[in-house]
Amino acid sequence: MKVHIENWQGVAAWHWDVPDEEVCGICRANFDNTCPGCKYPGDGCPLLVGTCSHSFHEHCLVKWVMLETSRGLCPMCRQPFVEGERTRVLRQGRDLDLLDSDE
Amino acid sequence: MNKQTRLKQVFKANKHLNLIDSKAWNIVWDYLNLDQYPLPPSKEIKIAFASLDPSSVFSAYSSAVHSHFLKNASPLLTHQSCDNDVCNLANTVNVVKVHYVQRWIALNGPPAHNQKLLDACSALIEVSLPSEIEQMTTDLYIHAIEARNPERARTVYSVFRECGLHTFSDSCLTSAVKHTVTSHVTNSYRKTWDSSAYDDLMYWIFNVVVSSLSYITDLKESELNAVNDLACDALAALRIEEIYDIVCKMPQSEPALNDLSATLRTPKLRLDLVNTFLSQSSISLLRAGIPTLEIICRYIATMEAFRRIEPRGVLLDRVARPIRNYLRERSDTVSLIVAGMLNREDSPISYISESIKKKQAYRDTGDDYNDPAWVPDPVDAAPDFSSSQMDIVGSLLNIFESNDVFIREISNCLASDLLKVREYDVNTLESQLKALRNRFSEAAMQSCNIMIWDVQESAATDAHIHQSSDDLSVFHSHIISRYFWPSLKEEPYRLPQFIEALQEQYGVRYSEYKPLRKLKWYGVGSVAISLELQDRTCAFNVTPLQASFILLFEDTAEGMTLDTISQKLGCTKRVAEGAASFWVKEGILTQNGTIYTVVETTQDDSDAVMEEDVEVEPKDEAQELRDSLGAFKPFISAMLTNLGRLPADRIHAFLSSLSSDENPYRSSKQELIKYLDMLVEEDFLEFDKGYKVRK
Ligand SMILES: [Zn+2]
Ligand SMILES: [Zn+2]
Ligand SMILES: [Zn+2]
Repeated sequence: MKVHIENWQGVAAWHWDVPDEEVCGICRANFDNTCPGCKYPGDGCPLLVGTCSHSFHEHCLVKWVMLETSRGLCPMCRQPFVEGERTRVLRQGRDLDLLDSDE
Repeated sequence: MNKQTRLKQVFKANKHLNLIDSKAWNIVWDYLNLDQYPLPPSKEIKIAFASLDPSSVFSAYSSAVHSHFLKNASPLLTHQSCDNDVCNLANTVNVVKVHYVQRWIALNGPPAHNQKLLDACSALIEVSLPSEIEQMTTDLYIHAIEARNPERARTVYSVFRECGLHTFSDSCLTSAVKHTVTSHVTNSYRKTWDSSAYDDLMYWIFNVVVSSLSYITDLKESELNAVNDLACDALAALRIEEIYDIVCKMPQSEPALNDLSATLRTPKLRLDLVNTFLSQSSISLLRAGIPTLEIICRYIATMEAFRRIEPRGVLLDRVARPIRNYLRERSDTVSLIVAGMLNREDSPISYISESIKKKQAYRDTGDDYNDPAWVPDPVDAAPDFSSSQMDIVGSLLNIFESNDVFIREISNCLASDLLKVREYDVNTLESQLKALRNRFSEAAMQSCNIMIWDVQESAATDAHIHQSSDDLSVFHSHIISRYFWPSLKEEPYRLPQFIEALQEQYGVRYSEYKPLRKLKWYGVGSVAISLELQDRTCAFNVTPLQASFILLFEDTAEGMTLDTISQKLGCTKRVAEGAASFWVKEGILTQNGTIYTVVETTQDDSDAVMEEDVEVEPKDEAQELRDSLGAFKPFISAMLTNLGRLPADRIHAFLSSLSSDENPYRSSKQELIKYLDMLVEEDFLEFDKGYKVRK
């Protein structure tokens, strides 16, 4: 017997490359889920990792930074929040000015 | 009260015979002699009568009538009734009346005496008539009404009337009408549901009953109405008695439902209808042996039927509740309804997917008192009755208190369908889903939307990945957002190495395309495969497990044991056996003991199979059930004797737990139910909300 495979349709789930138990420090949802304001995960609601190594949903962090009281600090460690190299590549082109200015 | 006492009351003993010697008295008394045929009184007699005290004469005459009647007329009337002819009897009654009354009236005494005499005579006649005369008169009237030949009846009726027997005669006529109408309704309309009995009945009432009756007597309007009401009630009673079967015969039986809506005049009849349906459906429908699908179909029919009988839905609300409660207990209710809503080809209720397309409110939110068209609920409505106009789908969703169970099932179905689609083509599924948006809120449908979106995105991603790398060949993938999909059930097993390699490469390309994201692989999916055998080539769509399984047999004629196979696949024997049985069923593998071998040629095998077919006697189902379950009868009996009444579920669970190697229990619950129902038929068990040993 010869077996010919015409089409192999596999199934995979994507996940952000962060430790599985890690959740967004602001909304407490898993990164593979959306922030409270989003409907579509993944490209629709991306991840942001700071140089302090704390991660957030991009949308959650932007909202936080907009607050006067945040003074641009990371809500977890209170150091100035700066986006790390890892996620910068995600944003190619669509820059978040208020974060870049710190660099 | 016996006849004698009644007679004594009518004629009190006379004590005023002191004028008995006078000449005038003799003249009058001669004239009133009841042994003579009555003749008109002469002038002399009239003068003599005028000279006497009329009360005294009347008393004496009354007394004479009394004793003469008992001696002569009573036996005559009794005798007359024996020859079964009401007409003759009526004539005799008339003659008797004339005999006693006419000569007195001719004397022109005080009118009060005339009336008294008439009443007394009527009373005497009435008590002299034997009891069967009532039935005979009724029969005469029945015949008259039905045969449209009311001549004789008219005569009898008027004689009885003139002789003061109205009450008797009218009551006979009333029971005649009742009997005629009731038997007409039963004989003509029982089990004929495909045309309007109501119209036909009204026509018949008017043209037959009313026309005969108005010939016999002058019908008053109130009597006419009473006849109509009688007819309506009789038809309503018949249709109520038949209600469950009528519902089962929907939609051919719609005219019978219209009969009901036209005749349910009173709260009593409405209550009868509800109670009858409840008891009939609890006996015939809400039983362990009835498949869930059948109950759902009946539930839909009940909806449609009762909505037709009474559009406000008060009755429907009451009859549907027990069915809803029952369906809620069945574990397959949701999946069957969802299969219908998703228009699955194998679902007999897929037609409901049509009605999904019509926009409906998600769920009723109670009475809107600001609605100018609002009216109070009818008095017989249940306290939580909601008068919203629910369609079929609405009613089906209404079986459960919240939509969550349906959403969950829809997600499950959608997930398994999406993972099977070819070429990422989600158009059909997407349009099905669009229809469901009419019934479920956007929020509830969110994960379904994301699942569809995932597959569409997968198409773009897959195209991109294949563009940048041409060594992925036939390998493609669905890439899902795991938080929005139902958890995918899978048993661990090992994929062929070259597939694992392709997966890995695919994952690398994916991470290049979507930075910071990685893939985790599942063992599910679908594989289009074709098998080239010595004498044939077969194409299949299979699971990755089934594909991996058959790949083990490529280029080898050697057989393999299940142990070897499960070792190579890195899975349990049970999982391997599942895949093996698929290929055996498809005729690609053959099983010999625990060894599986490829069927390279089908030629000689098919002959063997055919011979075998001839030898095997077809067993009937009952015998098969007895063979497979007969050994468990003592257990069932002991269990039910010790534990009392038990539902099939419990018995099934109990027998499964008893199963052992020497006495294995392999029957499905359905088979067990069939077997238990057989035992019920054999009077070994009885069934009422559970099985029980019959004493
Ligand atoms: Zn967040
Ligand atoms: Zn977001
Ligand atoms: Zn930090």
